[in-house]
Amino acid sequence: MRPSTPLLALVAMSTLASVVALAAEDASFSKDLAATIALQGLPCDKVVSAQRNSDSDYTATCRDGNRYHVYVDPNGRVVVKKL
Amino acid sequence: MPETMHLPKDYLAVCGLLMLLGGCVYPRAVAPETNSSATPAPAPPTTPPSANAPALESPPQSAAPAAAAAGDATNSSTVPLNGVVSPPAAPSKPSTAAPTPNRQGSPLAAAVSSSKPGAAMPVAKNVPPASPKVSSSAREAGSGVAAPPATAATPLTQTAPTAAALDLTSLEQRLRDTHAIGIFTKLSLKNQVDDLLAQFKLFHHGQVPPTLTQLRQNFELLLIKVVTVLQDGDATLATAVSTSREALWSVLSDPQKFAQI
Repeated sequence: MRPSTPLLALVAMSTLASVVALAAEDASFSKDLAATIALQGLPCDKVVSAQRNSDSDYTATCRDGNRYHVYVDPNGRVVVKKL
Repeated sequence: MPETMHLPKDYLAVCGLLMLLGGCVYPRAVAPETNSSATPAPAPPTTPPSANAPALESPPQSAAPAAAAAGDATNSSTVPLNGVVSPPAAPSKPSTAAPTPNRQGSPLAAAVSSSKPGAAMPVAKNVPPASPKVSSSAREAGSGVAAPPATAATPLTQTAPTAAALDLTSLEQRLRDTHAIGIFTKLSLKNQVDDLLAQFKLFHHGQVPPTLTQLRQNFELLLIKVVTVLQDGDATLATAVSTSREALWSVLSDPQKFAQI
C-alpha cells in the first residue's frame, strides 16, 4: 500500500498542474475574445464562457449576458456578431 | 526493511517531478512580463541623443549657425522627439527573440503571422524607403539653400523622419511578437489597420469623402485602441506606439511617403 502513495500524489499533482495551466490559458483566451469584441465597438466587460464551434469560430458569453459569435471569415477578417 | 529503503527514493522522485512541473507552469504566467521588461530596458539608454537631438534643433540652427554646436547639446535633452527615437533600438532585440508561438488554431496564427502583401501592418514597410528618401530630400534641401552651414542644418531636420521610420519597423515587429494580446485581437487590429490604409489610399487618389480631418480622427481612434489593448500587458510597447504617433501620421498623410508603403 505504501509505495502507491507517492504515485497517487504524483498523479494528483500533475493533474492539478495541468488544470492550473489550462485555467490560465482559458483566462487569457477569454481576455482575447473580450478585447476582440470591444475592438468592434460592442459591449462586453468580461467573457465568462467561450464555446468553440470550429477552428477560429467561437461563441462568447459576456458577464453582462451578451452573447457573440466571433469568427474569422474566409477573407481573414475577424467578425463579431451579436446573438 | 526493503520498504523503508524504498520510500525515500520514491519521495525524492516525486519531489523532482513536482519541481519539474512547477518549472513548466511558472514561465507561462510570467512570460509576458519578462518580455516586456526586457524590451524597454535597452530602449531609453539607446536613445542616441547626438543623432536625434540635432534633428529638432535644426530649425533654430538655420537662424543662428554659429551657436549650433552648443545648442545641439542643450536642445537634445529638452527635445520630446527623444522619446520617439528610443523605441527603435529596443525592438531589434525582441524581434530576434523567438517568434510568438500561437496556441490557437493554425489558420488564425497563419493569418496574423503571414506576411501577405496587403496583410502586413503598414508601418514596417515604410522603413526601407524612408532612409533613401531622407538622403535625397536632404540633398535637395542642401542644394536649395547655399553654403556649407546651410547644408549642415537642413540634413539635421530630415534625420527625424528616418529615426521615426526605424522606429516604425520595430514597432510592427514588436506588435507581432508581443504576448500582451491574443491572436484574435491581433487579427482584428490588423484588419482595422488595413481599413485605415484603404481610406488613406482613397484620399491620396483624390477621393473627397474621407477628408484629412476624418482620417486623422480615425487614425487617432485606432491608435487609442492599440494602446488600450496593450497598456495592461505590455506597457512599454504601448508607450512606444503612442510616442510614435506623429511619425506614423507623417508617413500616412504624406502622399509620397504613403506611396512607398
